[in-house]
Amino acid sequence: MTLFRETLRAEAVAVGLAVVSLAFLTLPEPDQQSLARRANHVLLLPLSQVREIFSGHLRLRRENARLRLELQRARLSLASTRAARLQNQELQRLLGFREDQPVQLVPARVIDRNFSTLPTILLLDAGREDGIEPELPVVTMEGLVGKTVGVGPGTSQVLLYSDPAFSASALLVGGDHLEYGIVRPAPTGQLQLLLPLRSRSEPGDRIVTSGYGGTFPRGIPIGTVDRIREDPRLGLQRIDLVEPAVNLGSVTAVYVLRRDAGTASSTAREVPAGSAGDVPRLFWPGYAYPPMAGESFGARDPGGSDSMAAAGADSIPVRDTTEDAGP
Amino acid sequence: MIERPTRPGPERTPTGRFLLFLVACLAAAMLLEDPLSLGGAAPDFTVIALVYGAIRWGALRGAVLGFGLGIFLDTLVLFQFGLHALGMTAIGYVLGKLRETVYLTTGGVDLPLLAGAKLALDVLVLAVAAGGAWAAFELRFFWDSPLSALYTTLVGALGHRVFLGS
Repeated sequence: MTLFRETLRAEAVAVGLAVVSLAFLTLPEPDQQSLARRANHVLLLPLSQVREIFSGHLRLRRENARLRLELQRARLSLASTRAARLQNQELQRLLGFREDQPVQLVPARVIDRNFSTLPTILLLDAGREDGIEPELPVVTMEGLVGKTVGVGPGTSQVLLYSDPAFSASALLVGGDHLEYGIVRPAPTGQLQLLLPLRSRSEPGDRIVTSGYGGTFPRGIPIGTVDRIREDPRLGLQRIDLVEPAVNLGSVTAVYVLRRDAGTASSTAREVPAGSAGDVPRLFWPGYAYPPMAGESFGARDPGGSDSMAAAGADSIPVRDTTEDAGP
Repeated sequence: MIERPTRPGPERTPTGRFLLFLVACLAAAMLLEDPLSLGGAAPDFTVIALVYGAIRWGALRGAVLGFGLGIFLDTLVLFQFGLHALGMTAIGYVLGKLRETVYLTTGGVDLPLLAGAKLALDVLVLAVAAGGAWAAFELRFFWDSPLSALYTTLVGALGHRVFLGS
């Protein structure tokens, strides 16, 4: 009986709801629309707001993912920028090397070289049109390479320090003294430093150009003393073997030092003149070079990197053994 | 005294959890039907809620649930207000009746109920919507409706088992 009553009630409710539904259906269409909109407004507007929140959340998640991706890209870009900045600093340092010089430096690429057993000649892609003349020093960041000899409109030949015809007036920088001498290659191609017999030199002493002779300004690194020995033939002088500063086999680009001081002085820093006056001095980064005779060795080095000056050596005796080292 | 048949699986789950399942179905009906549609076929989450609700609660509550879900659908589609309510009231009542008169403990019995309910609702709605244009009715009913019924069955059965663990 209970079950029958329950069933009857269920049928009554179902029929009642069906009748209500049919009543909705039989309404005129405008009334249906109006009713539907009203129901939509009451029932679905809150749900729509929930949906909007849900969609907004999804949108925020997508945006978050996108921003994370952008952040990663930005970090990569930043790392790349840091690398570029380091490179830029390195280039600035090289540029500083150029601007610090009392002469003008013309950059040039090596476009050819002789392929004999011993390299003695290089061909550069800069020539007369670039202001290059014969007898100009050719250097790299490490030091002396040679000097120009034959100059064409767009190219020039460099006589390397390994050529038998090459020689340069040199200055040996000892621990507490300076010695003047001549650097030139042995027939075997090995660079050697010719000094007076009573000179004091030790392996490791540095050798720079002395500024005499008219070709090379003072201070270009040539190399270091490798081995000391006396002249085996006459015993009248010392002929030390030199470890060159520049490995000629790996030179691909060089600077040619021009003498137009007018142009150079506009970009170069002021050079304090020594007693030797007109001899130009180069500021070689990281390389100590001594003052001229009579010049106070303890004076502040314009290059700011003179370790000897920093050591406080006020005066170093200079032996008066200057020789002209013209080729 | 007539003995009630053994209650089917869905009734063993807690009421709160089942209500949550129904709410999830409503939310999915609003949010997921478009994203989940494949061609012309889409899962009908209101039918899923109706089938499982009617199986659990019987004819009376099934009819009320069907009416409520139908009104919900009518307010969504803004077409022939009361049509879905009529159809789903009838389906809810019939499914509830089945639950009270037939054993529904067999595993997988909800699958044909889901498919049948979806097809029955589509017959009613498409027939009214066609308004005598039987070509359109045939095209929809013999192509979209079976796929939608299949899709609804798969999604409903899977969702129900995952959600309620039955």
